Amino acid sequence: MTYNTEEFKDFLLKVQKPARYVGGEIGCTIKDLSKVDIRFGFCFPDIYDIGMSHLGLRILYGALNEQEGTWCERFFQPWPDMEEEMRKRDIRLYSMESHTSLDEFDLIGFTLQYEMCYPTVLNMLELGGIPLRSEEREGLKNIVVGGGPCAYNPEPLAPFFDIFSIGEGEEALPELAQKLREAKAKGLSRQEFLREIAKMEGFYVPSLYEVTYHEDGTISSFTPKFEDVPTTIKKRIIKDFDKTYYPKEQMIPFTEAVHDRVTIELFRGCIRGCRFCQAGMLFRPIRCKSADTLVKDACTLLENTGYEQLSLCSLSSSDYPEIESLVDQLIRYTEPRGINLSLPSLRVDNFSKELAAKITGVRKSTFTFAPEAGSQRMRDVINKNVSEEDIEKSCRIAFENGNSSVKLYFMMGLPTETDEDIAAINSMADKIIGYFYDTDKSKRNRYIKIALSLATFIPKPFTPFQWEAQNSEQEIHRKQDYLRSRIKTKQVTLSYHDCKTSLLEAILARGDRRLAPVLEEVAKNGGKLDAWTEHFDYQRWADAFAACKVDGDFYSLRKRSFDEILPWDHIDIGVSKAYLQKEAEKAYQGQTTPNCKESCSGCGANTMIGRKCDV
Amino acid sequence: MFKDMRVQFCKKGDAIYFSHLDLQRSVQRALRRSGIPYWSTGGFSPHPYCIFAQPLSLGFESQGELFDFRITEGEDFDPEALKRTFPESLKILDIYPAENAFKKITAATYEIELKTGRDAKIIQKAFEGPLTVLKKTKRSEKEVDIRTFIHRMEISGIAGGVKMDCDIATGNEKSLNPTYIEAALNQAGIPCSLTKVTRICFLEDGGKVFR
Repeated sequence: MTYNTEEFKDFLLKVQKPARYVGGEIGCTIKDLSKVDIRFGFCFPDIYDIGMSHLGLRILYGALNEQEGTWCERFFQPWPDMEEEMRKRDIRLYSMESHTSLDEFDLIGFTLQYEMCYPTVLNMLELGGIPLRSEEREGLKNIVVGGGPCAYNPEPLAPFFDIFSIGEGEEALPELAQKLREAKAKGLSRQEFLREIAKMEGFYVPSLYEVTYHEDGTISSFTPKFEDVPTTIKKRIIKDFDKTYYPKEQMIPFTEAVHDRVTIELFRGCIRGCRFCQAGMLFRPIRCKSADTLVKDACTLLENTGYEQLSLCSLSSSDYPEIESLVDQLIRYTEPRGINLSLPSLRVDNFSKELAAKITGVRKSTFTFAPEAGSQRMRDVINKNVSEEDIEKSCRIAFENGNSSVKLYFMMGLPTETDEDIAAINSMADKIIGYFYDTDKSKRNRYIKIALSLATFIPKPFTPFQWEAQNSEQEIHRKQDYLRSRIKTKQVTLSYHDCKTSLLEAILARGDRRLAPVLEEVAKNGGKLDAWTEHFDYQRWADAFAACKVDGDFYSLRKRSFDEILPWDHIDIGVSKAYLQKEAEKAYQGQTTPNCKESCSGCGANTMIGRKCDV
Repeated sequence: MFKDMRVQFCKKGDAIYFSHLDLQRSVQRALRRSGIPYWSTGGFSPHPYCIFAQPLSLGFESQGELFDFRITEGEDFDPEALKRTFPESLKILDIYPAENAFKKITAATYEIELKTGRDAKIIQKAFEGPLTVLKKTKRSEKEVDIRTFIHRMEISGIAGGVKMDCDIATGNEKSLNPTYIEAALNQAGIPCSLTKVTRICFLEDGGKVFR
C-alpha cells in the first residue's frame, strides 16, 4: 500500500510536528521502482527526531542505496498522537521516501540501540502489518533483521527476528541484500535462504539453534539444530576503516532533529578498557581514520548540507592519535564560516589547555566530566583511570578559562561499592568548589555550579562485569538517600537517572529467550517509546512479568559464576571470555589495566584485523 | 555594503506541513549550500540574514511567498545555484533585487475552498450582513466583523462546496487569518470547513500586486 500524504491533511495538521511524517528531505534517496528488486525498510525504533540524529542510520542508508537494485527507505515510530490517527484509519506504518507500508518490504532492518526500545520494535512491526513471530512469516519477504549494540545479546528478541547482523553493518547489509536477490532468482524457500545466511560470517539465525535449561533456570546447552550451522557467530568488522564507505551527502530534515549537524567518525573502539563499558569492548579492535580523510569528509559534508554545526564522534575523542592536528585543520575551515565545532567525549586526563581554549573560543559551554566513581579505590575497580590530580588540573584550567558550571557523571551500585565510595562523590564536589575559590578572582567567574548526575550501574554482556549482580531497587534508593544527606551546599545539585528503567534494562541486557513473551505482553498492552518518561509505565512491565510468570530478578540481581553458560556465549566479539574473566578478577583486587596505548593487554580483538590496533 | 535580494517561491505538496520555523531553518541552510556570497549576521551564532514577508499558516499552500536575503555588494552570483538548493515543494519562481519594503504589504489574495452543504448564493448573502467572530491576538481578544478585513470576495460553487477568490488584510497593521472565515460562517449558522487555502500573492495599498 502506498499513501499520498497530501491527502492526510485532515489529521496531519492536528498532530504535533507533522513535517516528520512526510519525508522528502533534501538528500534522501528516491529510486525508480522499475529498477528496484530489493526493498529494504530501515526501521529506527524511536521517533523521527531521534532517529534522524543517528549516524549509523545515515551510514547504512547510504551504503545500501549505493547498491544498484536495492532501495533503502526509512521508518520511524510515530509519536502516539499520530499513531492514534493512523490506527483509526487503518493506515499502516509507511516509509518516509515513497510512503509505502512496511509489509511490502523484502528486508526489514531494526537498529537496536537500547534495550528499552524492544516494545517499540514490536509495536512498529504490528503497525506495519507484519506478524510478530518469525515462524508466522512466510516466503522471501518481510525478513526481519536486527543489528546494533543490543544485537550482541539478541536472545530476548530471538523469536521475533529472522536474522541478526552481528557487528558492523556497512558491508554486511549490502551483502545480505545481494544474497536475497540471488535467493529469489534461485527460487529458494524462506528456510533454505535463512540456512544459507546462517553460514555467512556475522549473521545469526536464532531459529536454527536449540536452547535447553537446567532446573535452576540457567542454560544447560545451546546448540545448532543442523550440522552445517556454526556453533559460534563471529562479529563483522571493517578492516580498513580509513577507506570504508562514508556518506558524502546527508539528509537534511525540514523539522529539527535532536542532533541536527554534520558528524564525522574519528575511530571505532576505545583504548580505555573501563570495566563497566560495553561499547568499549564491542567495538574493538581500535581502527582510526586518517586526519586527511576526516577533514575531506567534513568539508564535503558541510558544503553539501549547509549545516552550521560539526561534531566529532568516537568513544573518546581526545584519544584520537592526531587530535591536535585534526582540530587545527577543522577550525581553519569552520571559524571563517561561522560553523560551530563540538567535541564530545573528551577525557579529563589528557585534556590540554590549548584544546580547551580552542573549543571555548567557539562557544562556552558547561564543562562535563565522567569520573564514574567518587573514590580512587572504586575508580581502580572499574578501571576508569582518572586520578584526583587529573580532575584537579582540568578543573583549574576550566575555571581559569571562565567556565563556572561543572557537570559530573557517576554510577551507583558498582561491584564492591561501599558507603565510603558513595560519600567520596560528595567529597569530590567539595574539592572542586575549593579549586574554584583558589582561582584568581580576575580570571574566574563569580559563581560556581556543580551538577552531579547519578546513574544506576547496569551489568552488560561482553564486559568484565557481565557476571555481576545489580543492586536491588531498595539498595539503590538507600545509597541515593545517603548521598543526598551528605550534600550541604546549594552550589551542588543532584540528579538521578530513573532507576526503574535501569532495573528493566539490566534484565533485558542479560536476558534470554524466555523474556520474549514478556516483551510481547508489554507491547500488547500499549508499551512503546519506553525511553520517554511520559510513556514509560513500570507497572505495565511488572504486570507483564507476573502474567508470564517470569522472575526478572533472576537475570539482574543474581551473581553468575564464571562457568555458567551465558545467553550470549555463542556470539564472538573478538575479545575473549578469558580476558573478560581476568579483568573481573583484577577488579576484585583493585588492580588497574593500562590503556591500549601504553601496552597491549591481549584482549584478542586484534586477531580480527591481523595486525596491531591503531593506537 | 550589501544589496537586498528578494526570492519568490511556492509552498506546495508536503511542504504545507512545514512550520514557519522549519521553513526559516531550511532556507538558511539552502543559502549556505548554494555557495552564493550571502551576507551573514554577526554575533554569537552568525547565520545568513534572511527575513520573510509574512508567515504562512501550517497547512496552507502558496504560489507567491517572499523572503529577502543580502548579498555583498559588487559580488556576482548565479541565481540558478540558489534555485538548485530548494526542493520541488518549495520551488523558487523568481529572484530579483528587493525594492519595496515588506511593511508596504497590506493584503494578500487567497483562494479558499470550503466544504459546505449550502450553495454559493447563501454564502454570498452571509457576507452582506455582519459576520462577527472572537479574534484573539497575543494581547487581546475582541469581537470583530471579519468583513472589515476582506477587501474583495468572489464566491463560486464547486463540487461539495464553494470557492472564494478574495483579498484579505495581511500585514503588520491589520491582518486576518483565513481560518476566521470558517469560524465566522459557522457562528452565523452556516456549517462549513476549510479544505484548501492557497495564498496567491501579496498586495499593497490600492490592490496592486506587491513584488
